Amino acid sequence: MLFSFEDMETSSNSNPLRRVLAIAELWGNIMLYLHPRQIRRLRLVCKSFYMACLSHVHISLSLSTHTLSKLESDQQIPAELVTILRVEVSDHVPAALENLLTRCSRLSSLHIDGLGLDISFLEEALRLVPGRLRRLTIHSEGFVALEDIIGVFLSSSSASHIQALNLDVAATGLDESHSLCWPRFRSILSQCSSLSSLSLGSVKITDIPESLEEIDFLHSKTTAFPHITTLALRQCDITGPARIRLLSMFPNLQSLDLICQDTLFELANNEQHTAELQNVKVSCTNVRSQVDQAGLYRFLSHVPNLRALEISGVGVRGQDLIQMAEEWTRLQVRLKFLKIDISLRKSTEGCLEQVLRQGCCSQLQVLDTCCGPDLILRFWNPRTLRSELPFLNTLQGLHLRKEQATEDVAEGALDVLNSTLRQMPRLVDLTIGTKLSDVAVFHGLGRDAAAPPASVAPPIGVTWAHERPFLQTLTMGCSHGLISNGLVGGLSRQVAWRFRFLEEFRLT
Amino acid sequence: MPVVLTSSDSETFTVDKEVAERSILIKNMIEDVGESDSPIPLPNVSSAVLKKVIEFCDHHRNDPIQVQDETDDPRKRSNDIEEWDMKFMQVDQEMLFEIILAANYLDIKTLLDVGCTTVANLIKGKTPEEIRKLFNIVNDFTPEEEAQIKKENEWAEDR
Repeated sequence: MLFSFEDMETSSNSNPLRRVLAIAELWGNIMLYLHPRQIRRLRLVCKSFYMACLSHVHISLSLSTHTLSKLESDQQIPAELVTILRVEVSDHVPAALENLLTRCSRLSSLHIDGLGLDISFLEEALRLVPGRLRRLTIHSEGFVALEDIIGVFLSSSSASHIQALNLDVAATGLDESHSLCWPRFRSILSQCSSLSSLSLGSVKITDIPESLEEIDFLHSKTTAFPHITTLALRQCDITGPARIRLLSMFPNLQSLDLICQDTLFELANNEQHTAELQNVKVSCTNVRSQVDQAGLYRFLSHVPNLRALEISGVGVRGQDLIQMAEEWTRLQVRLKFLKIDISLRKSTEGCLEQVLRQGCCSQLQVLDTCCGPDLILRFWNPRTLRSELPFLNTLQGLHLRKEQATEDVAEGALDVLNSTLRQMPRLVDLTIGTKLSDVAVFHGLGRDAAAPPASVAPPIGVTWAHERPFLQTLTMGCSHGLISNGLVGGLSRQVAWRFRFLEEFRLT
Repeated sequence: MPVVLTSSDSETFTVDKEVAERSILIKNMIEDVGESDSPIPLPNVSSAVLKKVIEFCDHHRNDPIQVQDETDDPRKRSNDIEEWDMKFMQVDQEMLFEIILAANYLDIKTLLDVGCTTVANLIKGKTPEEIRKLFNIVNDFTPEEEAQIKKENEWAEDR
């Protein structure tokens, strides 16, 4: 450490900035608005800033064979700043990694990638990690029985305080390496008392017991696991009825992430199983699947507290979407996040319009679709020159991911998009998949691109109220013409100047 | 019923109770003491700052009390500031930080958030040198110390 806290105390005086810096909570509140990169840079201002930012700086470290050798040659790595560590498995824990693990006092998240036959690596790593580890991810290559991996984890000291566990198995076709029988599954749920988030990838879950609810109500309550609030089952081999039975064991489930090959739900669910559910992410990987997802619709229609919904790859009929939205509106559901990533034909784009006009979407904060500017055009009222999108004032993220040439966009749609963006004061994240050849779509947003960049920091009284929306991330399609004419650099500079708070800019 | 507030420099301000109670500190004091004509002393807030704070509370007198949304993204975004609030914050630096300190002392969450957003927006996108100029700060690092921090940052940047 470079400085002691005494430096900070002696520098405190009547200067109000110094007094703000000296109150950790206050400074921490300011830090919440800043990108991690900016916080790291802020430490270079002066010693007081360095000290005030110290607890807000986090390093995420990925150690491959290459970086491990760099680690061996550079022992000055700021281990106390490392909070996330990703390591690749080797036949033993190298001395440099062992040294690092014992020094990473703030390590809260460990990812172990490529676990092959060397289960002793896992054992050793879990022995070395500090007591504050909260998240553990293990990617197994599928050559060791999953139950053995779980056995090692459960016998480690981390098991009792881990809050998020992610077990992911690569496909090998070896049944033993994928199988997780209910008694072992239950031992994770009952022994890991701090566990709130569980994610399983490509695991074959077997022997889920029948629901005891109808037999013995009291017994069913005692077999529930109320501490689990987040569950992800990604490509897991589990029958539809077993999946429903499993969900019924998590009465406080708030987030559910399901990735399946075909049917997401075979049975309509009981409402009481979904009472606490707020975030649902469902994805079907078999894009050619024609399976009827009626069970999914019945399930989603009975989630009264739904706030975030993400659907991808599922064969959705427009009429089903509209009916779901009507039901949510009737239930007073107010979605904040909606992502629909399904192939929509022209006719179903109209259905999406009808969904978005429903009351359940009136307070949407993020809309993520595979549509383009044509969708926005549908809401334009040429008489009032206002967009009729019901969530203009609440929207913070708009993602129009359809990759298309500007010639394929409906006439006037880009102009309407420009006008609509100006009517979204809170927008911070924007994606336009259309292959744009200029930044005309941003005309009137942010700063006037013709203005010269300031050579010195602006005075405190600067006003940026008229520059809304304050974009922080922007992803936009880029036409071949722009690339071939070498105009990308100029475009990037224009965008960076226009949006003064921009943190990330990507061209696709 | 009006409430009388006294600043650190002994100036008194008479404000409506609903305006004064935007401050959780004052609200609790009124509840503890009961309704009284006695002025409420605020020894940590000068009259100039208190005047601004009252202006803010008066403008937001009918707003619902802000409740922390636990499921929201922990990282806050710079967009969440109203037009009027942005103009209200067009003050000199000293006043800006004094308002933040007063909002913290008086426990007025909305004002604290507006102040913190404004400071964060001032910092965003600037180099350390620009921030030093902005806040009139002297670089007290030795070249060796500065080099060490840059090296630490490199570990985070290139991964």
